[in-house]
Amino acid sequence: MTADTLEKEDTLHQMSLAVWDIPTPAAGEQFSIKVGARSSTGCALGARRIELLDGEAVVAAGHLGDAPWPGTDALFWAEVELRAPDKPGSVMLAARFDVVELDEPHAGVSSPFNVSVVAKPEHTLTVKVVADGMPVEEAIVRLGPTRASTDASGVAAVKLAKGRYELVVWKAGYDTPVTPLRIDADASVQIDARVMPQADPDAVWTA
Amino acid sequence: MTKQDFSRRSFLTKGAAAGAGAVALAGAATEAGAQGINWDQTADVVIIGAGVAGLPAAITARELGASVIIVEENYDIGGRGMLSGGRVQLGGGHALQQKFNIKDNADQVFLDWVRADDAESRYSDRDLVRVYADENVSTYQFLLDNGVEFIEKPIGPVDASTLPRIFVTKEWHIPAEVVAPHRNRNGSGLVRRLAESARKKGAQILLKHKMTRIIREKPLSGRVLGIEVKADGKNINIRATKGVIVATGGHTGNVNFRRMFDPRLTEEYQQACQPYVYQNADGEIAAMDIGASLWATAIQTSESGAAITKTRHIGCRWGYASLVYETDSQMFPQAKATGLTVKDWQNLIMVNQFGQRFWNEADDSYKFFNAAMAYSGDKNKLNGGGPIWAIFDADGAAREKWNTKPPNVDPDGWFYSADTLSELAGRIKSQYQKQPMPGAALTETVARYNSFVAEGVDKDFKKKTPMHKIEKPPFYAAWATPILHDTLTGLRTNTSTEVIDMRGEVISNLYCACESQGGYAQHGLARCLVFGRIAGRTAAKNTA
Repeated sequence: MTADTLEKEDTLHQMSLAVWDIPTPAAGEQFSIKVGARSSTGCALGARRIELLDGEAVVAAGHLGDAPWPGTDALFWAEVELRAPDKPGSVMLAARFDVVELDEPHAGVSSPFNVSVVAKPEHTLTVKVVADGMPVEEAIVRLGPTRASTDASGVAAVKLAKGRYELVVWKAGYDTPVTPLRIDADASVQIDARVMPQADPDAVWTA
Repeated sequence: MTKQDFSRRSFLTKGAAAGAGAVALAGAATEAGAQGINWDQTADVVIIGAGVAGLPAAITARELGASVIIVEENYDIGGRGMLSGGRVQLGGGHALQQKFNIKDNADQVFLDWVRADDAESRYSDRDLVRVYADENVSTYQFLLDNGVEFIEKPIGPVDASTLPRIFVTKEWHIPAEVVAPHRNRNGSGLVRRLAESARKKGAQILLKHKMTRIIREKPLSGRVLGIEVKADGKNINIRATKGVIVATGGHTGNVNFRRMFDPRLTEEYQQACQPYVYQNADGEIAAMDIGASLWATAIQTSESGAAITKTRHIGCRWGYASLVYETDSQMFPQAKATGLTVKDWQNLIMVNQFGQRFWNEADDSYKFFNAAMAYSGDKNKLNGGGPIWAIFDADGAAREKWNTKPPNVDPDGWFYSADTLSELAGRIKSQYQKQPMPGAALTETVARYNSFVAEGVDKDFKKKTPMHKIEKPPFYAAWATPILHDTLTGLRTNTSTEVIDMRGEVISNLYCACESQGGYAQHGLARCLVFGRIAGRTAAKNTA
């Protein structure tokens, strides 16, 4: 057990999990996520089994690699493939670490994570973001769970299923309108962002 | 005279030598009614606090011929003004406003600062605001006359003002004498210039002299005679023949005192400008001990202005607004970290001690503070909301371009990292985190937030289009508990700054100006400067 945890010394080593790089898959699409496991002792977990569950059902599994994720002390990880549900929507899955194979006694653990499944995209929406006539780079464009970042010319393209959406554009320092859209074919839209006044470094809260 | 008394006077004589000849030792004179107090020093006007009100009070009193002693508990002058951005909100149509064709006058200043539609102004004592307005132009000229330099760029209107009135002073030109250099602490130029002028004009500034008592003829009646101070372990009595001016700067750092106005403000909340100044209510308490009253207390809890602010620099003990103690600051050994400056609140979430979100992190309003201070569920601590932690991941740190290592963060109680959220929760140890944060709760909170990000809707707290999942290891927890800032109420005075007692009577020879003065809650330097001058003038002219 690490010296700086508040957990009581225990015969069971505490396990914890992280799940990341979760995409927004289309219904029925194969996709992959990353799952990592850590023992409170920092012990090596390479080749150990990780399971993904939908309720009680195991929907995917993988084996942890031998090297920790960069930037971490002892988070052993795997890329696990799974198939998105056939219906669009939000689904809460869980990662579970199988403790059976470990030599030392470990407490089992599971950790919830969310996957948003979208309808299969049929059309492309091209969004151009400008402010004062100039393109806005690295603005986030999103329509529901689908998102993209604008390139140097202020353009982002997103693939969407038919339907109604709210187009939201976000970049710190800019004010942008929320634009309702109906998508039933490929389309283009330009969003005029307003540059927020540059805050004086002492514009607020100085003594 | 005892041997001890003699030694003490010898010390003081040497200490006073560098000051002005205007200050005289009083010998062993015993004041009638003062229960045989031996006065170690005497001046016409004795000022408690060498800050934004005390310094102009001293200069004004000296200009009127009064001898002046300022006692200052800190090792250097300036108080919170030293760490201010130097934004002086004086209007009325002064020369610099005229230069920018800003049509202002005293009546407009008054009307702005008694506005009913602005919570910062509606609770003020309008008699005080009227005097304030009438003295804006002369106070601006006073600053120029005493060497204060301004950057010629108007800012505003802000707060209740309807016209641009803010001009920023120039930062002091010697970095080693700026307590927080490189960070636009332009208030240093204001207080250094005023201290320079005060000394030139013969005011004596006694540093590391802490006022411990205001001495009145009788505990709750008669004139104020002087003060007792502690310096280098010794008690010293300083006689004030014309009066004592309380210019101590507010109560925000005193947990017991601040909770008179709002019981939620328990010990976990940070205070702006610590550890250079503490705003410990000693002026208010000493004055109240001899009968002084408070005034316009509604302002303190009006949920307006800058009484409470969000932490802007997370992962360090003190993360107040635009103030950062860089590694070459005199304060860095105490501050221990510069903090991670938050540019976009989308890059993190904030949770309470139990790992639960409590509000939209992007909100800067009092709704945020009310949620942060809400009952957290801690059965052992019913008041206050407990510690607040910012939670973010490797991607969030990358987007903010944060280096999550010291000296940017302080791992000794204010910043933690871990491979998983569960592990992170267990690592958080702080003097204010009385129990471990449950790892499962933090994991659940983040999973729920991530589902909001995926769907683009924050179903719990309506954060506008939550943008970024918190999912990529490693994970971080950074101290982000709100900061208490302005003291907005204090001692009751009349328009001449004479302190008023609980029965509405003047306490003779006691004056107050600064954030410790109640009745007018304008944020910033201007009201302290204006009423500091008035206090110095009233005291110097006192013939009672």
